[in-house]
Amino acid sequence: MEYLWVIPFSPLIAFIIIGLFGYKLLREPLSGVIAVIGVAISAVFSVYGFYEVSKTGGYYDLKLFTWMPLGNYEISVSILWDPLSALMTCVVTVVSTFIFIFATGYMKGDPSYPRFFAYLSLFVFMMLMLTLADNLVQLFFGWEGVGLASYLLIGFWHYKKSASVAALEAFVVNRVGDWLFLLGVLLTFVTFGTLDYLDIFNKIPEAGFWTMTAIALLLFGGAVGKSAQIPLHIWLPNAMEGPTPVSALIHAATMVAAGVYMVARIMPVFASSEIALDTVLYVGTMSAFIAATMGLVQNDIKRIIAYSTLSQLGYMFAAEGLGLFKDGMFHLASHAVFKALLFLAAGSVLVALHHLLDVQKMGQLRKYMPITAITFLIGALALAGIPPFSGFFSKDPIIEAAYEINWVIWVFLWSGAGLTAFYIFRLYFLAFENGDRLDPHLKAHVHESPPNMTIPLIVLAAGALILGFFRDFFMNFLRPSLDPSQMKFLSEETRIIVENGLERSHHVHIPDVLHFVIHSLTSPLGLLALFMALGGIFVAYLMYQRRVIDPVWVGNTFKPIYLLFYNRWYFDHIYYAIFAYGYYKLSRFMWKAGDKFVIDGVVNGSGKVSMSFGDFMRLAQTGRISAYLAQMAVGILVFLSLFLFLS
Amino acid sequence: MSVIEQLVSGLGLPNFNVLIPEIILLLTAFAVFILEMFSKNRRVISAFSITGLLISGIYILVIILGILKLILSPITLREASANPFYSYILNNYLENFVTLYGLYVVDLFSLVFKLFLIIGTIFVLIHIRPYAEAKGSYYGEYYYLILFSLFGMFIMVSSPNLISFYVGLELMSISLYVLIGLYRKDYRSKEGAYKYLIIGGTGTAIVSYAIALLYGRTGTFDFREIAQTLIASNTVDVGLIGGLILLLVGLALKASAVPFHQWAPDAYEGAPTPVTAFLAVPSKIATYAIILRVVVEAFPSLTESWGFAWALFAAASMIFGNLVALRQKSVKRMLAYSSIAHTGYITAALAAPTGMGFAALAFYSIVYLFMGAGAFLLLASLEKNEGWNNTLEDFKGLAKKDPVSALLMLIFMFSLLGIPPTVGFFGKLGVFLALIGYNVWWLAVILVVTSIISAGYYLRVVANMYMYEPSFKGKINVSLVEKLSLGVLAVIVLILGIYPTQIWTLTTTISSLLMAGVGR
Repeated sequence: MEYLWVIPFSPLIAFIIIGLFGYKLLREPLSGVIAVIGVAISAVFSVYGFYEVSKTGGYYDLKLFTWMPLGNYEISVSILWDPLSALMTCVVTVVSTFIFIFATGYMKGDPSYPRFFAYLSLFVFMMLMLTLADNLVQLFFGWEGVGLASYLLIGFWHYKKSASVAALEAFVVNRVGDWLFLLGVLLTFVTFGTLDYLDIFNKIPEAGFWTMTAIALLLFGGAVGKSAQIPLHIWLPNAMEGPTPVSALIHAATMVAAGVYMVARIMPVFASSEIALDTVLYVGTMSAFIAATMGLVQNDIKRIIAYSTLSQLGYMFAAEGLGLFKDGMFHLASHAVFKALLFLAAGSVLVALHHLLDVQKMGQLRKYMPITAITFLIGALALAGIPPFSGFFSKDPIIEAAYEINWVIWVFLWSGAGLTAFYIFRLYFLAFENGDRLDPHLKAHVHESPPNMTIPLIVLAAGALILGFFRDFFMNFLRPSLDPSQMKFLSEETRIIVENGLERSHHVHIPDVLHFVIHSLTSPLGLLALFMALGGIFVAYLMYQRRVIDPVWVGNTFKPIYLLFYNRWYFDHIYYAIFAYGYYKLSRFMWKAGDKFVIDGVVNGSGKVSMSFGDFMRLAQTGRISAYLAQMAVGILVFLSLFLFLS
Repeated sequence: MSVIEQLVSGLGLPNFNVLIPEIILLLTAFAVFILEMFSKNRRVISAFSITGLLISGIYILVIILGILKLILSPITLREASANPFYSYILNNYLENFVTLYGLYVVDLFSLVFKLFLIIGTIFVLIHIRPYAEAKGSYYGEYYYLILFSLFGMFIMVSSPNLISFYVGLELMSISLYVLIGLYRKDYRSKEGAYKYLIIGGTGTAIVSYAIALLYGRTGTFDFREIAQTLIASNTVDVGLIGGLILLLVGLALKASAVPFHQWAPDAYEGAPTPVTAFLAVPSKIATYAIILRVVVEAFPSLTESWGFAWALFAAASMIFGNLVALRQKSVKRMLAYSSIAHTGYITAALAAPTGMGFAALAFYSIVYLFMGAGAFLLLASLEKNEGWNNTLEDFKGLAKKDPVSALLMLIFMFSLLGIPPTVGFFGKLGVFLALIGYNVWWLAVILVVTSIISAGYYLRVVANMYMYEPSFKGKINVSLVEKLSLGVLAVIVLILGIYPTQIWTLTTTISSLLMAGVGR
């Protein structure tokens, strides 16, 4: 398995090459080609590694080199290759490859073309450091690295003020989560004296329940920030200011899923605390539902998909909180495919319409861009959970299992599914069908995108169509990483703790693909879920295609609810009030306190006043130096007396 | 045996082999001194001093690598003595490394610090000529004064003895007083120099009083002998504590730790900016090094007292430096306070008197060299442009006017703030881990909280550069040489931020050697 080191370093080399020679030598097509080659090489190697590990189901811990010795523990850069990391790595590299190819078309003619691909390659490297890590420090390194790359890419068009602001917002909000995460890492180190996952797992029995809860919750705080869950979700919709391939890659398929991956990666830690699992469950469910309601009333094509990302990530966390880690990871993989598809199709629309974002001003695009429309429709059906698309096989099991574990959770997830189907088909009907609202000037130029953009769409659409049927394969494949009875690296005591922790899902039985389809079409529970999705589509059809129900009338009739959704449940307002206003108050206070000190020269004795006049003699006469010396004398006296008389 | 006895009994010549880097440095300094009188070619003087430093630095680097090879890898003594290079190192650096009759020690600790002091000084020398010429206050004195000051730092980091420490400290400081004032017709420069002179002089007085008290108590100047006497007598009295605390106060003053920092903002702001870089980085690092050596070698029995004293200094410096930096409008002055805050972060490691703590101190002070020097030297390059005053306002929209400078500034700001993947993160992480390893939670919490506060002013510079329209009207022109030298610093910051292992191993080694007192 030595060849695995190629996976992370191939994009890094691409990054270095593009960074050094991008503008001078490679310029427009070549820098993109090098980036595609770099990530394609990792994709090939990771798929091969995936194949090998699927044969054996073992795990390989390769220590590449020591990074930093800390007393008895050595932090190393390493690769932990087991089914879980193999799946995540494949999702990242394969989806990236197609998005990179798409981006060579999307970014055509941009003056900063090489910079874009340099950043993208850097992002993939950091993401792979994260997925391949065998310890929390490397994970954190990748975690921060993808945050940095995301910051750079959201603000890629830095001349747009909204883009710079969104980048900064993403950065700041993520810092909140990252501080929690870092505290979690440090608490882990203090508790266990090690940061390698496998050692941590085996030392779990030594730690108390509350320590484990604190560690899990702090680490989950990082996941909430990175995966944009409520209450740290506000940055993701605004992050859509970045170029669309970035939204597809970072803010839909990979980086935002890092939180879900991290929770699954250290599943035994979460499983050892019921409180932590419940927190994951409730945060995930709330995000799934609330984000779906926010998506109902948006008009910006990318933001609608962004809210759906928030919501789907909520489903993944909910699955993990229910103890269904394998289902959560499978939904992550299938979501990565169909959400990347949706974003890329939206990107294709944007290129054709010269970056017009408002869906209310689109319409009948299917006539002009058939491939984009059909692939988008496939992505939308997958998202809505209609059989036989992948979303049906990955999302519906979570919803049905929720019913058997906690029916309150089920109500939210189930109604969320209806909302999901509604908002994505609202988008589909408004943009691709319905009336002709396009600006005539634009309409003259609308045409299908070139092959380097449509081929990735077709491939991803094919993925969204067939991936669901491989559900059983993925479930079995993930078993050595996420099923305590088959996790070879767990000690006996840890295994018992983990099995107890996951007890909530023990009685849940999800049948194989064929029986699951039959079950969904026959049992009341399955039909309820299916009708909810179809109902959502049907209502969208009535409202936005047939125009039988007037959306404006609905908005006016349910005005308070409409306003609540439209203003995103007032989260942004509340944060603005607390942080912006609070910061203003605080800085005023600091300013007053600071200036009092500064001007009076009590603490600081800044020479500002005298400096502006700058007269040497005057300076000596102001007595500032003697004030300094007096302060020093006081300082010495305090210190001397402190140590002479008190110790 | 005391110094005089050794001299009297005529134990022969001291080992001059180990002094070769110092000799090269001193010869360069004198040569520049003479050259400057006869030659008007400024490039020659600058190139000559840099070459001298490079030779000295490469010599030290080779010796360090040799020593590391000998102590870290399983080479037997026999193999080592067969190889002429290894036997040279064995004879000179692992056996006879205390020279000048016990007044000078050339161990791995001092060599490592000397190497990084030289590196920092070379960067300062690269930037000083363009800056001084643009500002119309070029003097040949810059070069030899900096070299003499560096020589003083060499003596400081190599001193095993209060007397040679004192000599080195004074040589460094007096050269610095003159350097700060070397700004023609600029009163702020004179004001800063004058303040530093007065307060530094007071500091010298305090240190001499401390030395007198310690000598009176122990009857020796030698660090190790002081330690032995203290361990043997095992009593703590007024003279000892008074001497120790006064010594620490004097050192804190030189390191500009709160509450003895008053000179620093004025001196930093008044000095020509490359000199500020020299003052803020190499001279500080030499001070941190001697602080570490004094407390570990001379007062191992009093860890509790000095650990607590440094914890107080560090806490005060972190809180005060960061809070006041928030309020600055001039970036140069802001960085001066940030340097006070960094004194806090670095000396905080002494609150955990363990190998980990000492390694963290050495690591942070070494990596601070790259980010601190980078930030100040970048200011120097920008300041050359007509009308640039280093205010926050000037930085608005820099990313549009000069993207390379803005990117460099971003890297240095991130590193000073401590965001991965810059090396500043590992500096803070090392100190933090050392502190929690020794259960000094309160200081660790202060470190984290003040670091978060510091984001307020570092990120403000970044935000100004990237999120505003340019407000500075003039042209911005940073020469290629300067960009290259700053680029090297930035790349080092990033590389060490990703792979700090080598430096970390090095500092761990010197900290364990220092604690073991190998060969002394």
